[in-house]
Amino acid sequence: MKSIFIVDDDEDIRLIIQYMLEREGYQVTSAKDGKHAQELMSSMEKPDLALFDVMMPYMDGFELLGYARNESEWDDTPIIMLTAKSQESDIVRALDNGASDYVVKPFKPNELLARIRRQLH
Amino acid sequence: MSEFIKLFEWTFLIYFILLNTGYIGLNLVAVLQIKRYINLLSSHSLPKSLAEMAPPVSIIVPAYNEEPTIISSIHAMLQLDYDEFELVVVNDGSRDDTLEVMIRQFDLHAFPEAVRRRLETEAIKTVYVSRKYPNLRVVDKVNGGKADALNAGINVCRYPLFCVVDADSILQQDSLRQVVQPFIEDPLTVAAGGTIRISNGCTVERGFLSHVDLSRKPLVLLQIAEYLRAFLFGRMGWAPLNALLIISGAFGVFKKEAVILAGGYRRDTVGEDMELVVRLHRVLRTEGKPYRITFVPDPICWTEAPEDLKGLKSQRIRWQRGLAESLSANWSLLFNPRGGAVGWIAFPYMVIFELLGPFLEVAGYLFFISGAVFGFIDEEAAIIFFVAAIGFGLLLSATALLLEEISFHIYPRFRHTLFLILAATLENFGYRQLNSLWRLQGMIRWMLGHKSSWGEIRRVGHGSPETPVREDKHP
Amino acid sequence: MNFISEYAGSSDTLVQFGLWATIGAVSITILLIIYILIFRSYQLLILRANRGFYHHWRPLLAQASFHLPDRLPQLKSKNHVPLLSMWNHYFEIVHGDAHDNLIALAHRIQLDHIARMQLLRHDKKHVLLGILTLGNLKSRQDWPLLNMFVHLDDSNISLVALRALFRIHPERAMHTLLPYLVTRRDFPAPQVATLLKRLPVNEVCPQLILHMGLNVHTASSSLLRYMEACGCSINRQVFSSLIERKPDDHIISVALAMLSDPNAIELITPYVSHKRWHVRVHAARALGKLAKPEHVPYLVQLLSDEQWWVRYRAAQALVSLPFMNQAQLDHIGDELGDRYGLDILRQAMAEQAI
Repeated sequence: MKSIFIVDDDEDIRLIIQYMLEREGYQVTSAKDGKHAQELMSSMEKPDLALFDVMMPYMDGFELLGYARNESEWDDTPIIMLTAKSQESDIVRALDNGASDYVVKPFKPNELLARIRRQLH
Repeated sequence: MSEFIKLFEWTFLIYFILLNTGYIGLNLVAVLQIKRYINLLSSHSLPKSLAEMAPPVSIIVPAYNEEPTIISSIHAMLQLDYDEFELVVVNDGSRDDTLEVMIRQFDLHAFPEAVRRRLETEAIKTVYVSRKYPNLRVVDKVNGGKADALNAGINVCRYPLFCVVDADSILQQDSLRQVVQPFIEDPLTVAAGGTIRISNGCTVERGFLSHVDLSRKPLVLLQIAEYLRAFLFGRMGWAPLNALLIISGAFGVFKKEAVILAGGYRRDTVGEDMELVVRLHRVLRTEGKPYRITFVPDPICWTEAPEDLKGLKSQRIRWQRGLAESLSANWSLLFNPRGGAVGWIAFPYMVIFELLGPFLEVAGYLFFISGAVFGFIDEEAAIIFFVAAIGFGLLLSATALLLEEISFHIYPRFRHTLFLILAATLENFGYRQLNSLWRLQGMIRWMLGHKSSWGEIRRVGHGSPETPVREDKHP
Repeated sequence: MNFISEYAGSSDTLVQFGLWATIGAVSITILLIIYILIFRSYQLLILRANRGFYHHWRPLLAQASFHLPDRLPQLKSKNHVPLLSMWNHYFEIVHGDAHDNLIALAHRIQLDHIARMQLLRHDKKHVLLGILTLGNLKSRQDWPLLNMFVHLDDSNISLVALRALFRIHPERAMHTLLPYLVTRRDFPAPQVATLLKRLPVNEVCPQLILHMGLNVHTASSSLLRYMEACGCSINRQVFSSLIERKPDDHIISVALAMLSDPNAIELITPYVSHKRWHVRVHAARALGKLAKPEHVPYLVQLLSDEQWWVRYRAAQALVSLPFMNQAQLDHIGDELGDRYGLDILRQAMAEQAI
């Protein structure tokens, strides 16, 4: 069973994504903000894929991305960024900083699933 | 002789009753502002799409010697939940490494920006842009005080609305969205203040407020109770009359053109935030331009209150001086034929109860105490005076507490309510009286300072030792 | 109590007055405190009840974004508004098929009916929530009802109702909106533009131009501004017909901003020395879009303008011209006798380099 790590500060987004992924047979761990994510990342087993929101309190998705890419454990984990539609410059920045892909919010659940599958082959 | 004494007795008694009922009245008018928060069912926020379509905003953050906190503050501000905003940090000639830590952390690079000088300021040395955050710029300038730094920020910023935030203010993520709302609802809005709450006792992590709690320190609790009574609902009452005279420097949004029309921030006052708002009223009223100055009651910005008597005392002395300077710089608004509710109600009210209040309050207490001691007043009358002054004070405190409970109730637990009731009661026995004394000192300093600096421009720098920045803000 | 009776018997009116006033104040205070305590306890109860509601309904809505849940709990009327609010939040998070699924759930629990009930309430927040929901439900049968709310004086309600109409049927909604573009001065332009932008430019712009023809004398300036916000462009013909009417300076500015006809450059150049600076700003921008090498001197002239914005836009225009290279820009800088012009040119060059 593949495992996926979700970080988003909106509880409802976490719920939707978690429901969708568990239905597809993935195992899901979630964190409610960047700080919480960082705490989990140091102790948890490395997931097969991670999904980071960009705008979050305490620590934004870019910082978290940078943190993950600097950890030797995490540097090859596929990371998909969730960005708000109004911030197109974020997309460039996300890809430049080592994100594997991005999805714009509001998102189409099926599209997100397809992108996740592609990263996991 | 005894007629005179009778007259004084009546005057003081009536003054104290009026002072408190005036505030109770303002509290009740404030209900107009918060009635949409009162409905229990709608206490949760509206879907975001009802709040979309917000105009772009420039956030100006003046910074002087903020090295320890500036990074986390800016990080937190960059995370604000808002579509389009830029952050302009103005380093006002800090003597520590404020600028250097920002350069390192945000990958700042000097940028040859031809700044449009619409307001006179001390020289700008360099404008930096961040390679990490495209919407962050840092202005490095020669020290000139907070007002000067803000004016430089106004010159540099690009959007039609600008938001002033103290470097150590703690913002909620949705604060900008909330405080811009009046500008969307009413295009005539020129200024909107955010509501400031006291952060002592709350948990703050990386520039964000993560947990709300009441402080256990008695002095802070007293300030919170005082704060609800005098600063929150007492001021909110002026907004429906479009006569709000104070917007805290810790968090407020302004229409840039209106502020430039009024001349920007004044450098020669310790209360530049209040002075600007009073001046906006004066300029726009006398020019006959329709406008609205308002504020957003949601608790969206948090700031630290002094925890010891010494800090509190100097803060209050400075506030009183700032108030005096703000009002005296705009005397022509008082009873101005075009002054409307500001010139005819709010301004006189401020003069009588806030500016001259300390004199009358201290005089009242002295009169009755000495009268009873030296026997020129009956004991009965003196006791009644004190009982009435405290009784009406209690009523005012309870009204304010009730409003907080039915509207925001930001302190979640039952014991919080009990603590607040206790603090609101005790506040009337000593704390308010002590405050009157401090404010009296502030008035005296203002009058002396006023004379000694007559004809010369007194510069208030961030850096001068008598003006610690941290005590600079009105909540 | 001895205290009170003693003082109440006092012959002194001051003491009498002060005493009774104080007794009044203190009794009200005590009542208020009792009320506060009762109110707080009541609220804690409600909070607990709400927690149960969220606990049940949150996962159901998450699930409903994919398929209808088999069983739904009983919906209590006190939970109507929180549910509306939460449903709309889910609707904002996702897109595509999930919307259809959420709408199916809404019909199953009669959320449309609940939304309509909100329209009758006094509290504006509820009304807005109701309108928003009906729009998200794409409820065609509620078109007349929503249209009624567009007519209200409250611009906030009116705009949210328009937005609902735009969700239900964008083309039809545009025709509802068009007459208001001239009459409703209270509508904030950016919000209206956001609505119009839901339609493709080639559908909106011809309609706006047509509508402008019908309202020559009333308020073509506001219409022009919406056209600009929607990204419409105008050709030489429309531009000259606008200018022929001897319009005010603002109309000239907006018309310049939208002009994108390479054959119209000679119509722009006279405005380089217009007396109003905002017209010069727009002349600079228009030249930035359309200028050929022979028009560069006009932009260089504007680099030395007395107004910062004119200089800035002229510099940006120069830097963005496709045939302009670094050496040519440096040359223009060297030739400039004016420090302000040079400063602004350097800034524009640095901005482009980022």
